[in-house]
Amino acid sequence: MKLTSLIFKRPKKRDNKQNPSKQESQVFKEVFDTIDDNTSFFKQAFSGSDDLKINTLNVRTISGILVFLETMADKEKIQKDILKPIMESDNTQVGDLLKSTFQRSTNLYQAQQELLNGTCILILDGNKKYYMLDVALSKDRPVQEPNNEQVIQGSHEGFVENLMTNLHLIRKAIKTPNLKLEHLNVGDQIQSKLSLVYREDLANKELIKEFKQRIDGVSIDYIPSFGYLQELIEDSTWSPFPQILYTERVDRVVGHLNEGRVAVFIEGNPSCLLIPITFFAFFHSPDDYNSRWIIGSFVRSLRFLSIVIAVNLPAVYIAVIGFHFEVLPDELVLPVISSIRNIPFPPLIEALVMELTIELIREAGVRLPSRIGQTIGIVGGLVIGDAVVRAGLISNTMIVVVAITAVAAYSIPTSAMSDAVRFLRFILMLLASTFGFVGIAFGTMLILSHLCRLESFGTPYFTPWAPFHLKDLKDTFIRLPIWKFNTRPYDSKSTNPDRQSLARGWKFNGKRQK
Amino acid sequence: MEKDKNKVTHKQLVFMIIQAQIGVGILSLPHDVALVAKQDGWISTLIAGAISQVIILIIWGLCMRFPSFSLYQILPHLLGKVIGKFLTLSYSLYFMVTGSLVLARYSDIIDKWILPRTPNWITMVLILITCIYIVSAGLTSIARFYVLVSPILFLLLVLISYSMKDANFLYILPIGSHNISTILKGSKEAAFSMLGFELFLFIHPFVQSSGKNKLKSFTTANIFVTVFYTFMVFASLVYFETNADIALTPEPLLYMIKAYSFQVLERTDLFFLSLWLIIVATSIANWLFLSAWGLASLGRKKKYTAFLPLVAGFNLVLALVPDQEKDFENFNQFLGPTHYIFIVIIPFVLLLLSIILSKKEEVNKV
Repeated sequence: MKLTSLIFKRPKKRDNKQNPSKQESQVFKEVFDTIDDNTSFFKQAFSGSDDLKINTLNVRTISGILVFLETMADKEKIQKDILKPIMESDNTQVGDLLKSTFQRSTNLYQAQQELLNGTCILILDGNKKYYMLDVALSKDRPVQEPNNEQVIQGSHEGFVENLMTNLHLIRKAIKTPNLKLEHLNVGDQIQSKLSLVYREDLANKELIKEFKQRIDGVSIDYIPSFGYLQELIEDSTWSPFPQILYTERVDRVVGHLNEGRVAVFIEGNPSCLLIPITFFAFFHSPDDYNSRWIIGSFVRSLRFLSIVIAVNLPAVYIAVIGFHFEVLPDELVLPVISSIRNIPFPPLIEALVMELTIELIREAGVRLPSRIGQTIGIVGGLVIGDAVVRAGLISNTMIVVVAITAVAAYSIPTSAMSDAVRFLRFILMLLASTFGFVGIAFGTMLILSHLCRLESFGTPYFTPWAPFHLKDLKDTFIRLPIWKFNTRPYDSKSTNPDRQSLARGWKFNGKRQK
Repeated sequence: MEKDKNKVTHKQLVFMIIQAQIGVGILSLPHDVALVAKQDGWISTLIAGAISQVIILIIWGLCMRFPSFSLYQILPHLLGKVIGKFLTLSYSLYFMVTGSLVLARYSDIIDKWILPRTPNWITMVLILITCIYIVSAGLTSIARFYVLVSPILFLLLVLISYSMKDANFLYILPIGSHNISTILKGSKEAAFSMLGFELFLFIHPFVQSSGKNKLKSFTTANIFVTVFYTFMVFASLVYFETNADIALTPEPLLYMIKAYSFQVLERTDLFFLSLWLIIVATSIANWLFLSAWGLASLGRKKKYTAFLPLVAGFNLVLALVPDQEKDFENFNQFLGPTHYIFIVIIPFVLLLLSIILSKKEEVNKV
C-alpha cells in the first residue's frame, strides 16, 4: 500500500520558491576593498577546505592574492601562464598583460563558481575588479572506440568524459557556422552543465523549445549521469522501450545531427543523448552505411528478424509444446517428442530456468574482469548447458531455442533496446504458457499498441510504420543506396527536408540538371 | 506539441473504417450468405456493398452539414437537449450490445477452435483488457495501430488464395439462378458483416481533410471491404459444394485452410485464427470506444477513458448470457431491426431534419 502510494502519488505543484543555494548564486557580491576581507570571504565560502590555496603575490608594485583550488587547477599552468608573464613584464606592461590574457569581473560569487571549474583568481590590492584565467587540470581518457558500440569499418572515435573534448569532436566533424551550441545548467544544489547541439538550419525550433521547457521544469539536487536526465525528460517512463537514444559514437551523432535531430551532452558523461528518436533508429549501426547497400540492407533486416525471434521464439515454442502440438508436421513430431518425453517440468519452467540462467551468466560476466568473465562464460554456457541436458532436467530442443533467442537478443546494436526486448520475452512466455497462440497474439497486440502510443518529443515512436510513411522506409528495415536519400526523414521534423538533388549527377552528363 | 493530439489523416481514416468493418463476421459470412443465396452469395455480397455505399452517402451528407460536430454533438443540437441526450444514451447502449455480440461470437470461436478447455470469460477478459489499452490512448494512437495491423488482411488474403488451387469454379454455376428477392435476402445477411462504417459519424471532425477527400477515403474503405468479403465468399463457394458442404461448415474459411500443411507447419488455421484475433480486437475496440465516448458526452466529463472499464464490464456480462447457437440467433434477430434504426433511419431523419429546419453548423471562418 505504501509502495503504491509512493509510486502513484502525484507530486505537489511546484512552488516558485527556488532552492536557497540556487538563489544565493544569483546574488551579486562586490569585491572587498582590502585583501584581508577578500581572503576571509573565500575561506568562508569553501569552509576552510584544505585544497583552497591563497597565495600572496608581491612583485614590484603589484601586490595581491592568487586564489585557486589545488585539486582543480594545474600548478604548471599557473606558473607558466600567470606568474611567469607577470614576473617578466615591467610595470607599464602589466596592465596590458592583465587586460589581454585575463577575464575581468567584479562579482565574488561568480569567482566562487569559477574556482570550482578550475579557474585561478587574481585580486589586486585596492582594485574593485578581479582577474581570472582558466588553468583547469585535465586528466582525460584518450579518444578511443567505445567498447559497447564497435564497428568493423569506419571511424573509431568515441566520446570521453570531458564536455569540451566531445564538442570539439562534433565541431571538427561538422564544419559549418550553422552548427549551434547552447549551454544549459540543471541541478538545484550542484549544477551540471548540459550542451545542446544542433544545426540551426535543420533542427525543429519547436522541439528545442520543448526540450528547454522540460529542462526548466526539472528540479533535482544534481544529475549524476545521463540516465537521470533521460528519465527526467523522456515522454513516458512507464515503458520498457528507451525513448532517447544514447550513443558514444561520434559518427552516429554526426549522422543524426545532419538529419535535423538534436544532441545533448552532459559534462562528465561519454554518452550523448539524441532526440527525437524512433524505434527503428536503435537498430541502425554506422556499419550499415559503410558496407555495400545490398549487404547493409540484408544485415539490417536480419536485425529486425532477430527482434522477432528474441521476443517470440521461446513463447511460440512453449505454446506449441503446451497447447498446439498439432502444428508440427509429422516428421518433426518424433524428434521433439523424444527430446521432451522424460523431462519432469512443464515447458514454461524449463524455459524460465534456462532464460534466467543466461541472464545470470550475462550479469555475472558484465561486472567481472574479462579473464574471469571468460571462465564464467565457459562454466555457465557449456558446462551448465551440457550437464542440465544429461541430467534430464531440460530438453535438448529447449536449449536450442534458448540459445538462438540469446544470440538474437544480443545482435541488436543498442544495449538499451536489447534489454527491453529481453524483458518483454518473459511476459510473452507467461502469456503463451497460459493461453497458447491466443496469448501470444494478445501480447504482441499490446506491445504494438504500446509502441503506437509512445512519442519521443512529439515524434511518433513507431514511425515510419505507424503513422506510415512510405518514403522513410528507405532507411529503416533496409538501406537503399545513398543516392536515394534525397529527403531527410520525416520523424526528425527537420525544417529543411531536402538533402541532395542529384547525388550521382555525373551519370547524367549534365543532361538532367535540377 | 499538443495541437496534433486527436487528429487523423484521411489515409488513416481509410484503414480505421476498414478495421471497423471487418471483424468477427469474416469467418461465418460465407456460411451465412450461402445458406440463403446459395451459389449466388457473391452477388449478394456485392449488392450489400452497394447498399452500404448508399448509407455511406447519407451519413456523409449529414456529416458535411456539421463539419466539426460528431454525432453525439449533432443529436442535442438538432433535437434539443432531452431527446438528444436520450438518443446519445441509446446509441451508447446499442454499441454496447453490438460489442457484446461480437465478443460472444469471438469467444465462441476461440472455444471451438483453439482453447476448448479455457473458460470463455477468461478469453473475453483478455481481449477486453487489450482493447481498453488500445482505445485509452486517444484517437491518433488508435488510428496508428489500425494502420499498423492492416497488412494482416493481406496475409489472410494470401492464405485464402493459396487454397484456390483446389477450387472447382463450376460450383458457382449457374450464375443468377435464384430470383432477386433471394439474393437480396442474402445481401441482408452480408450487410450485417459490413457494419462498422458508422464510425465515420463520430470521428469525422477529427479528420484533417476536405469533405471530398473524406468521402473518397470512406468510399475506398467500403470498396475494399466489399471486394475483400466478396472474394472470401467467392473463394468458399468455389471450394465447397454449395448445397451440401457449406451448410455443414459454420466457419468455411477455417475448414478451407485447415486442409493445407506446409513443410514446417501443419494446422495453418491456428495461425489464421491468431491473425484473425487482431482483426476482431480492432472491431471490439471500436464498439468500446464509441460506447464509452457516448457515455462521456452525456455528462460534463470530457474524458471517455474513465468509462472504458464500465463499458467493458457491461460487455463481459452481456456476452456471457448467450450460451448456444440458438441464443446467437435470437440475439441477432433482436439486433436486426436496431441496426436499421441506428445506422440508417436516425442519420437519414437527422439529415432531413437539418435540411427542413435549415439548421447547419455556422462555420466561423477565423
